[in-house]
Amino acid sequence: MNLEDDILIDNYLRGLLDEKAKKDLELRLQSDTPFRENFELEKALWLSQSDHDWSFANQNHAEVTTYKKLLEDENLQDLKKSIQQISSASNTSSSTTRKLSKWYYLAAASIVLCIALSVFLKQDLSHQDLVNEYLQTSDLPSFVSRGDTNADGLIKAQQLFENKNYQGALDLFTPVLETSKPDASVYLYAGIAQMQLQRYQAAESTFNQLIDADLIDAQKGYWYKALLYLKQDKTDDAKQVLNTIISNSYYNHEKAKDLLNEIE
Amino acid sequence: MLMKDPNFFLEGLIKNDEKVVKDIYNNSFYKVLSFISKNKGSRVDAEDVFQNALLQLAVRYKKEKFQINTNFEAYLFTVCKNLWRRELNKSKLKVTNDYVIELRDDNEDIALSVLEQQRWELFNDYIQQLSENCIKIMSMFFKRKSYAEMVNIFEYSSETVVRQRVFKCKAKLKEMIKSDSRFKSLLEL
Repeated sequence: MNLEDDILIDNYLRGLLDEKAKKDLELRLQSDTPFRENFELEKALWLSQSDHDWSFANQNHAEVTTYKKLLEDENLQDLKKSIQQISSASNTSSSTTRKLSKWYYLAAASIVLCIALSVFLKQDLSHQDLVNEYLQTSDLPSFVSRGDTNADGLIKAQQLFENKNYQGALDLFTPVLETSKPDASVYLYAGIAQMQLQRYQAAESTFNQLIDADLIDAQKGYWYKALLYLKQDKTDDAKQVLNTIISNSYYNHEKAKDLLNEIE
Repeated sequence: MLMKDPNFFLEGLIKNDEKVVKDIYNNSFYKVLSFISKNKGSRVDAEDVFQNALLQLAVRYKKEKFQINTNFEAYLFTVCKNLWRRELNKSKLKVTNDYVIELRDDNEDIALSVLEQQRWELFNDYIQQLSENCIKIMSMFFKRKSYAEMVNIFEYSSETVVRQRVFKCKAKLKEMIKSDSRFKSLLEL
């Protein structure tokens, strides 16, 4: 492959060739095998690695049938059902979006409505979804490997928390909170557990205690308080806290900007 | 969540282990939903993509055990991103004659997406093995930057120099791809 051919193929893929040059290239593809093989690889690379394209497979490829047969097997069909069940169960907590989804199908019948709604659907993320997303990407400190002899109970509590046994975790965190100097992380875990158990007042009080505590990580309390308000759809309160985080450059102030943009 | 061997999740999927499927859903769905919502999609789209991604991984693992070299969540997210890119580009297929899109069923679509993902991985594996400089150059190339733009970005003296750099990096990349045993089967795509 020489540089000249490379430039030719490059120009073709970028859509820079005129009609005649394009035709000449397509003709050459039929007769010149090494050129064609190189072209196919260049094209596949170009399409598959760009953010705005995709390189599709040939539906006559020998392995398509093999995969299709495996997909029709009972256990993969069962897996499909399981995923659908889990998905619809998790969706009942955000009923507003579900209603929109049903509307989506109805609207598909009408092009005009569809366009109007598809614009609307882009803002499909409910506050609930946003909170889940941001909670997941927030790094909670770990009690593991702190070399602290009193950490065993906390490690156990953290494991319960990670397995979403929030009540179990809270039962272990609460007595620690009542001691004289709890760690900031204990407040965070306890507050989030209360939030997930929908004990919103208790969670707010826990985050407020953290904010008022004389601890380096006290400012983390603002971030979780903002998520707590959002979870309850208290949008104005959430915005106020987010603005406090941003203007004081508190913990997660960059994420706070993103979140504020999403709810505005 | 505690770090687990990525293959633990793949095993769980093909066994239809409800707890594993739930864990995967809880740990990854919202990130995918967020990505798709920000990229012209709805919640229903996100659910479809997520389901097809899990089926894609399951069927692939069922046919032939493979190893995931990163963590499972990151891997799954890449698969979902590629599936959404695939979905957004499907309309381009409808205008070409060599595809009869209406005749495809869901399973056929997933089957094809397995092969496409494998090819994407083959390419991506070798791009990552290029020199740091070539990785940067190829990244601009795949972002469809013009040669004039690349001259500015990399402060090369002329477009000819950039073209030669791209040519060399690409030649190295193609050489590595072609010497891989997966290449022959995946080029027939």
